Amino acid sequence: MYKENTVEDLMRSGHFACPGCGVAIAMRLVLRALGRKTIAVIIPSCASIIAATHPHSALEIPAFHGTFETAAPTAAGISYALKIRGKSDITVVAIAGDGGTFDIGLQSLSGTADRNEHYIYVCLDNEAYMNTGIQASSATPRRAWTITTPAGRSARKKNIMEIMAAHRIPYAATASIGYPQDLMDKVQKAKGIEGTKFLHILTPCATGWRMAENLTVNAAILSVETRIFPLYEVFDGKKYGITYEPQGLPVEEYLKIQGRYRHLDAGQIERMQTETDEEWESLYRHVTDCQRKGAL
Amino acid sequence: MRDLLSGNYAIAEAVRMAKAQLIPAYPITPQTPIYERLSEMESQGTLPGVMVRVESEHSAMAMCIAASLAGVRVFTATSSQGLALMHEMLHFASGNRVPVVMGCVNRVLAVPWSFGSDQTDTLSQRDTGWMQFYCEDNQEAFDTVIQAYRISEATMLPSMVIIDAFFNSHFIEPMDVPDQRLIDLFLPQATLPERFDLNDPAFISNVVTSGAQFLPFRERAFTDMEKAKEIIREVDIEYRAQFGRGYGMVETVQTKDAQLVLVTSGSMTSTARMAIEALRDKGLKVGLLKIKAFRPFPSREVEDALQNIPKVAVIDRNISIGKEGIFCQELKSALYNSTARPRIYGYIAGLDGLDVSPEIIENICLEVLGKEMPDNLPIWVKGN
Amino acid sequence: MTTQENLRAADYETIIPVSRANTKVFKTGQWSQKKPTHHPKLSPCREACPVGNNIPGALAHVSKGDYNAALALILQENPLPGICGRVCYHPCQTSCNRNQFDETVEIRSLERAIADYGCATPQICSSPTDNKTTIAVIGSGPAGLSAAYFLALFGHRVTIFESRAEPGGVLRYGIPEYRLPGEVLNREIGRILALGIDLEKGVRIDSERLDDLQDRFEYIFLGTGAWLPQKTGLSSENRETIQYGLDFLSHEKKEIFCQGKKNIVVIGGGDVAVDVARTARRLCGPGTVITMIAPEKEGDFPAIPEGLAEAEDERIRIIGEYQPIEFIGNSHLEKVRFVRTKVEKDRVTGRYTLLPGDGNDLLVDADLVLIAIGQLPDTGLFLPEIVDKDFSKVFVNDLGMTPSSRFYAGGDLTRKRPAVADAILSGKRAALSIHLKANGYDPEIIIPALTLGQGSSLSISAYIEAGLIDLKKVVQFAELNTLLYRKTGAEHGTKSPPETRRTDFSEVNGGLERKAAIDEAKRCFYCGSCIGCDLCFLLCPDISIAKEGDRIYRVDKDYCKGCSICATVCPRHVIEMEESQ
Ligand SMILES: Cc1cc2nc3c(=O)[nH]c(=O)nc-3n(C[C@H](O)[C@H](O)[C@H](O)COP(=O)(O)OP(=O)(O)OC[C@H]3O[C@@H](n4cnc5c(N)ncnc54)[C@H](O)[C@@H]3O)c2cc1C
Ligand SMILES: Cc1ncc(C[n+]2csc(CCOP(=O)(O)OP(=O)(O)O)c2C)c(N)n1
Ligand code: SF4
Ligand code: SF4
Ligand code: SF4
Ligand SMILES: [Mg+2]
Repeated sequence: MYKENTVEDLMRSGHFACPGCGVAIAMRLVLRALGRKTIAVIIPSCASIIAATHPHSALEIPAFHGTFETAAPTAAGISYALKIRGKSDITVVAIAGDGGTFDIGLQSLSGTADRNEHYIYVCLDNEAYMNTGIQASSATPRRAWTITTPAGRSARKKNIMEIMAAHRIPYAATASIGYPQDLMDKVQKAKGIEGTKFLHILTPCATGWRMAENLTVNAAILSVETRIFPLYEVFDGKKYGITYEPQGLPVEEYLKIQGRYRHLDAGQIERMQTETDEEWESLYRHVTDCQRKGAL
Repeated sequence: MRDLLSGNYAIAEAVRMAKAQLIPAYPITPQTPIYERLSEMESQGTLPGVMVRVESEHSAMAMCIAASLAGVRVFTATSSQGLALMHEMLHFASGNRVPVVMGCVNRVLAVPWSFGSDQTDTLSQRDTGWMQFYCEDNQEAFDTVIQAYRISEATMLPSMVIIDAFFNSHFIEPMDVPDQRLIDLFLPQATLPERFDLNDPAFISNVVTSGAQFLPFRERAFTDMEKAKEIIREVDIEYRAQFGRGYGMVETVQTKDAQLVLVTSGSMTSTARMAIEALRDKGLKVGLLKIKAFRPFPSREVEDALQNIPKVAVIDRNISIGKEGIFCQELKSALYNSTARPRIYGYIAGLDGLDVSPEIIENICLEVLGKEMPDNLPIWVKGN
Repeated sequence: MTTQENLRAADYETIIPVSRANTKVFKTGQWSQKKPTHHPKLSPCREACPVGNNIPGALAHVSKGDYNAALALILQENPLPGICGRVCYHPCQTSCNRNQFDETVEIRSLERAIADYGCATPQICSSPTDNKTTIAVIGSGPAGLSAAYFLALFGHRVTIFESRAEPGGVLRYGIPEYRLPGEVLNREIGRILALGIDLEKGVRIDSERLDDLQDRFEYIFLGTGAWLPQKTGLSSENRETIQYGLDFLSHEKKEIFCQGKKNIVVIGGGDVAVDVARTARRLCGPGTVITMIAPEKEGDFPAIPEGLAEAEDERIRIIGEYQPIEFIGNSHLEKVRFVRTKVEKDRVTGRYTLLPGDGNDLLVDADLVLIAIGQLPDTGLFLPEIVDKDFSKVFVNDLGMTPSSRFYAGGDLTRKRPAVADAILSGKRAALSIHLKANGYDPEIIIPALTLGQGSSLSISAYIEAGLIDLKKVVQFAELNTLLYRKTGAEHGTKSPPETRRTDFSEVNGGLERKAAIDEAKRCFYCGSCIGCDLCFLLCPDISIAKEGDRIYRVDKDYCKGCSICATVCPRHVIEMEESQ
């Protein structure tokens, strides 16, 4: 029987994630924050493997393994069904990778967001198709090595948050495994809001980032502190707010611990810094605009 | 109650009366009026279910599957490109053993782009594990939707209720719409398994790790599809008892003494009935076999009807490029092991809604009667 | 309908994969032999702190606003936190890992805040089955008070004998009120005496009484301090206008020496000299020139830097690298002549020698000279075998014991570093030795085990909670996960303005407000101490760290894949990876 209002882990040990897996950490934190009255939709990704193979489950909650590009409508479908059956107190969460979100699932995600269907979408972004062996996705940052971008990806990382904000969904936020409390707070905030909620969580991957397995959390922290992955929220697609003021460490601190950036020369690192600064400024403009308008 | 309804509206009416609870829908000609009619009902407050205007057929099916797993009766409809886009999800639906009922209006697949009827869209979903019911007219379409929910929910396999573009979908016919109370008696509220139980949580449809694990699930689906034949029969008998109409998986018309049996499906059957009459009037021993259920394939019924018949002519409004008409192939394989199997003559006719008139059908019969051996390749009927 | 019913009744669980089996059947811990252990370690501040204060532990309480818990923890090691929190030379701050990040945590101010805002009674640390003995403590300076405090906590009967009218030694009669207000001293001594310690005031112990005490008490602790002035050796020292630091400070009517003086010269660069100069400033008019001259380089004066800075604010001139060679003037002193000097430290003995330096002599006008170049103990009344005549001190070994086994000694009498915290340590050491000996334990084994790191200080709490902290491993800055910390300046307390200080003996340092102290405590890295932040617990991808209570975590080796995230992420380097078998 489920217990209400208890904070407990809903993920079980013994799953098959790689040692140090950022996705596993994020899943664990998300589920902790959601509690037992939750149904999860998981699509092909590292998360689906972590959630375990038949007849085992690494989850203490009901879950469904949907298809790769349908995390969103699958979750929405369950959510409708629950509503039809008068079960309004159950949260439905879709858990998808970056490939499933930024690429193949973007259309259906956009559809549910447009209709503002009632569920939480969690994108666990490890910046490549990891489950299939480190191929680039549109979430892979510019210059990052993957097996399919041996010289580094040439396109920039898609700004999924702006895409989601453009749908004017009630709540979108970035979160990081380096800041577990902030992450869980955002999940709980999302849980309390009607409509489509989107959480973009950076989940460093030791295997795919060519990094020591003990460094995934530190990498997540560095991504925030270097402003590569700022922590912020967007309400109704318009009201932006920074939830954690980053220190603004040099991006090199973040890049240098990852083998996927090993090939970068000083000039490229410099450009990464400039691009990061520009992105940050643009985000900051959104925030200050909101403050000026007294929106937050 | 007597009513005048197009095939699309007949399906929409059946969906309303079946009390489908969630209807994700997406427009595509010639199925669109189903969607529009249901939307109209919803806006008038007469639709018991919830409609979702999804952004693609693929998502429509994803939503159907999810909601069905969560214990809700669902419906969607599509045609042609939409059905092809859904393909992945069709396998996923049957694999998940969800009793989804889908209205399909046959339309050609591009290219060339066109809108007329062609069964290739549904027939090329043959191996997706769905039941397929080809309906002759609008009344049958209505009745089959009601029956399909019973059949699907009993077998935990999804069904397509299929009509032809325009001939059925848009042509208005007089028909009987039963009383809602009787429908409710025949088709009570869905009691589907609720797969997401907070009190007994499970991870549903996750990865299996070996062929040894995989095989029993497929085998089970296969045997359940076989058992479905019996259920289809029973449901049909019950339906006939209740509403006075039944269809069977196949229907035979004057086949007992026939020298030639014509095999058709869908709207073409009505025309064939006229052609048979005319040929009989001319003293020719010609019969008709209408195939309604394509999956599960009614092999026994087909064998019963056709063995000992010297010649069989199959008119396919579809084509499997590189082989022949799809019904034709299926018939051949169904009859291969029978002791006295007929010669089978394949015709491709009516693609993109080309008119297949009684005269064309009569001519086909005459041609077959006069031909000793069938051709290796199907004969393309180009019209009058 | 039978077929339909059959299918309906069919077990839905078998037609699709429905997975309920717990993944815990997979002992993924077998993937790796590396396993973490939570292993609290020593912080460098604590290693450096002579009293062995559990600084990170206490600051963690303060950071949550819990001053009472913080004080309770501090009182395990330090009987006089309000005093140390004001006057200690804070070697902890010099060693603080935060120096390598931004600037040190204001540990001393925090200790003061804990003592001032907290409320706690010291925890008795003896068991009823322990043997109890009797001890006479001679002298009520910090060494004697500390010995008495810990002995009382161990359950022994203690009587303090103090020659002066009130207890406290230098704390009361040396260190001025503007640094250490009387009420703080009374409060802290009161808390010690409340443990049931007898205090006999105004009782000067002489050789005869000492014999008597030997009959009445099992052990005797000597903590009489160092009160005899060190002299310059210059011939003309013996006049009214030349005074010695501690004599001056402890003089009931010291203002008479200062009245009407225009030029006061203070000789010496230590804390005593600073206090002498600043006291003189408060006793004479603002026009008086006060000059402090010492042989050390300016900036290298042995005095606590904050005190020197405050002295300068109070317009005391400071001159380094000179030593006096002549007092000039007849009946009245007129000038002092200084020669250029440099100080050399002997690498081996650590002793300083004064050598001639380059440069001209310095003539300074002076109508009062106050000499504060050191104090020596009076060893006259003690058994000759325990006294080191050459250095006029009492011998003690590492256990605080003199060569005579019933005599223990500590503080300035033993001429270790003359400082309050070191005096407290010496008292603690002797108390622990006596307790161990009285109970038949071998202090030679136990005391080294309770010694903090490579330093000299001792932990009583480690004796009680044996094994909770690894006292030998000191957390280095590089071992901390400083990513989780922010650079921020320290909170400094307020000071009264220099103008008012020139006449006023009220306390100069205001200390930290409650709120500022909480903020400052939050700056602490809590090196080596678990504060229950839960990061290791929450961030284990394999849910292999169970939380079993406040700051109690258990690693489940069946599932831990040895990724080391917990060990890497812990901001305080509590966790270490070890090969398990
Ligand atoms: C002016 C001054 C400022 C200082 N400032 C600092 C500072 O800021 N920080 C710091 O850490 N240290 C400072 N010190 C040093 C520190 O105060 C001493 O090191 C410390 O007080 C020594 O403690 P103690 O218990 O050994 O001796 P004391 O404090 O000297 O106490 C000895 C006690 O024994 C009593 N006594 C002596 N003989 C007898 C006897 N025969 N019978 C009975 N009682 C007797 C004395 O009256 C006295 O009360 C300062 C010292 C002075 C003089
Ligand atoms: C329609 C479809 N195309 C491709 C795949 C193969 N596939 C499964 S997981 C995956 C990669 C997933 O990448 P991502 O979404 O980033 O998740 P990650 O594995 O990195 O966690 C791919 C390509 C699929 N399952 N379905
Ligand atoms: S940061 Fe805290 S625990 Fe570490 S040395 Fe400094 S005061 Fe001590
Ligand atoms: S991470 Fe936090 S909870 Fe874990 S040992 Fe370190 S201080 Fe304690
Ligand atoms: S984080 Fe978990 S799995 Fe990794 S070493 Fe620590 S206890 Fe083991
Ligand atoms: Mg990915």
